[in-house]
Amino acid sequence: MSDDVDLDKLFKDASRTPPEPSPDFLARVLSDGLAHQPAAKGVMSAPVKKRSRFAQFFDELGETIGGWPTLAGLATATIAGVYIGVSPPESLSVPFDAAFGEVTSLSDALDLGDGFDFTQYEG
Amino acid sequence: MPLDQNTDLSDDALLLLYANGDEAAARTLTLRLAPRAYAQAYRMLGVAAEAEDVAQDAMMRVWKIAPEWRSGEAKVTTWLYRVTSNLCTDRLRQRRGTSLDAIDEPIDPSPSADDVLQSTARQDALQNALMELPVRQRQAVVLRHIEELPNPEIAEKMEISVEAVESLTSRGKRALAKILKGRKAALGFEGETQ
Repeated sequence: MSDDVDLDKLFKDASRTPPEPSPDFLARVLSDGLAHQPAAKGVMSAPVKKRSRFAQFFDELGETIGGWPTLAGLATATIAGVYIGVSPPESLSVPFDAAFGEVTSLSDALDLGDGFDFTQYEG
Repeated sequence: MPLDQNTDLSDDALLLLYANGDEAAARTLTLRLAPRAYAQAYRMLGVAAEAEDVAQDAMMRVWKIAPEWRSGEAKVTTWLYRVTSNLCTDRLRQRRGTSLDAIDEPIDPSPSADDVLQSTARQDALQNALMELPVRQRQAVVLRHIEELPNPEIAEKMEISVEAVESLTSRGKRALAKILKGRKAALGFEGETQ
């Protein structure tokens, strides 16, 4: 027998029967794979930041009435109203006088007649 | 393999699917790559338990690199071969550090069903003889004569020239023949034609 013949036969046998891993080993490898697998695209979600109740209130309010543009308009109108109330411009008294004349109370302005008094409706 | 449902897909495509959350791809990759890594580690280390540890570690690196894998830049099997090879080399180095005798330990004697099937006397003898070769010679001989790969592919896997592969396989084969010459009884060749 030559050494070459021995080796060729051995190599062929070894090639035909590769060492096979145990089923346990394959199960461990698969388990690792599934444990380290990234989540499927499309179901990933960004971590949600926890917000304070105060911030949440304004978030919800904003969403309810239409978002920040509405809030900005509301804030502008409020400031304008306060300003007009505190310091009414001259131009406003002209149409007011024209409409109601020289009046000192709401009853006069509405001209509800003699004897009428709002207080009579009070319980 | 009944569980390997994506047999027609390339390794690259499977890695991509795996990285996108496809569980079937994880199964297919396990069945396709883990036995290769195990066989390679077993041939290099000669101990089933250690080979399983190394192959599991190598596969863990496959799972981790999957999201960053760039298709077409390298073959998955070549990459895995190198990873497994490096892990085996580390193991052998550790053995050398703990005990000089440990390097030439006989192959795993644990009587598992798989071991009984695969460990014929001849295969044991061949494995023991392989374990006596220097690591690079062993790798080259296994790839050339057992895995039956062409020299250029071996050169690519081992990151050496084709000439170096030829030299390693030639010296390795001569050394193996010398080792096995005195073990004909163990090989069961005693009664065969001389």
